[in-house]
Amino acid sequence: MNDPSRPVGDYRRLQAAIEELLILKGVVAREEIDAQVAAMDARDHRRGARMVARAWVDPGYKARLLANGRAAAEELGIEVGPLHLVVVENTPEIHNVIVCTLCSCYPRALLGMPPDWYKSTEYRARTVREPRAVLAEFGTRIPEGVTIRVHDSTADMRYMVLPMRPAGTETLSEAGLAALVNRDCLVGTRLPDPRDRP
Amino acid sequence: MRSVHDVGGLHFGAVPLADHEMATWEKRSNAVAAALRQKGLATLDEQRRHVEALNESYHKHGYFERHLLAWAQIVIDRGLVTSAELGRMLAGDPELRAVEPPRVPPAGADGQRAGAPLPARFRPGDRVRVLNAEPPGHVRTPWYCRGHAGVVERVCGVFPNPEELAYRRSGLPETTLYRVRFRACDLWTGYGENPADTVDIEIYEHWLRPA
Repeated sequence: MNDPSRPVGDYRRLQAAIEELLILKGVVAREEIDAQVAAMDARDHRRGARMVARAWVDPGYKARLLANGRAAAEELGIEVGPLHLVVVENTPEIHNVIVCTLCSCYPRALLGMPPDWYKSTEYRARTVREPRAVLAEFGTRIPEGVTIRVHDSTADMRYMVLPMRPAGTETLSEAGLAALVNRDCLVGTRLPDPRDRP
Repeated sequence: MRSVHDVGGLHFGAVPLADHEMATWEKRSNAVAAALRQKGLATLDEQRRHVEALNESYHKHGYFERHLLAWAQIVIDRGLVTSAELGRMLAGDPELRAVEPPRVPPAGADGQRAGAPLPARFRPGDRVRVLNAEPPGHVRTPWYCRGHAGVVERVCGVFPNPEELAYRRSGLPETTLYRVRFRACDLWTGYGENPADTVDIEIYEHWLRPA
């Protein structure tokens, strides 16, 4: 989708012109834009991973997480603003995967910007029609007997997957568990792997 | 007409797994959009409408390029800047210091009455069918589910109608949003994976009829 041979100078100039003009006209202040950049840079998947690890060690928290994602984030001191967060739980029978076929809806207020593949036409087009084939490209094999629930994020809700806790992690601390949860686990395209221990 | 952005179910090749570090202009473009939205000066649905209006050139532009082109339209459409000012800024006009103040319309200028949202028509477990409609404009009901029947999985709450927000109206009264669960084998002829697989889609009430 991004053609590396195409010069981006025109876009860079257009962006700068819009920003400078809005500042010149007093619509926004440069500090406000800087603050938005800093806020987005400060959000990443580790915030979601903390919630997952807590749910793995605390059944009460897990129930609250599945009932109200935003409240469960705030309970851990994670600020997410007016986010309508639906958390969907993987089980031995059900695997969840998130997509937005219309654009790129993603819980940015919690996890930061989505990866490029999430925004790609290929992922958006195919995940609703051949989820196992798409997941296999991530190296994730979902057995035929497991039900896949695809969630097309088309409107006001945003989604995060609660993966299953991998076997052999009984001795890990909560922080150690969180380190197993990478960004893709929270979208459902990969599974936490104890071999990923830092 | 199926809009260019509405790609669910189309045949494409392998998912490109490589990621890229966001460029500074991409971050700042994203930040300006976020700031304007937080100030109530524009909506995400306007961005989507302008991205969709790229039509054939949609796929020629990168992700952040599409957004930037959309916001270039929005800031003009909203009266925050004029096309002429933007042209002069791009041309490096030394006389640009003297600009007009933004012409922002007063809030609620669309003349719509808010009113209380209607009570939800459907409940979890109800079977519903999506209207098989092809309206012009900005809609959030994917093409691939239109005309298909599913089951209400949950009532999400009430939200301003994005089909109105995209055209700078209030979207009020709020409308009920549902998550509807479809069987993948109902959506796709010859579905090749587990017949128990499902696709959940968020759909606004005015698109749903009892099935």
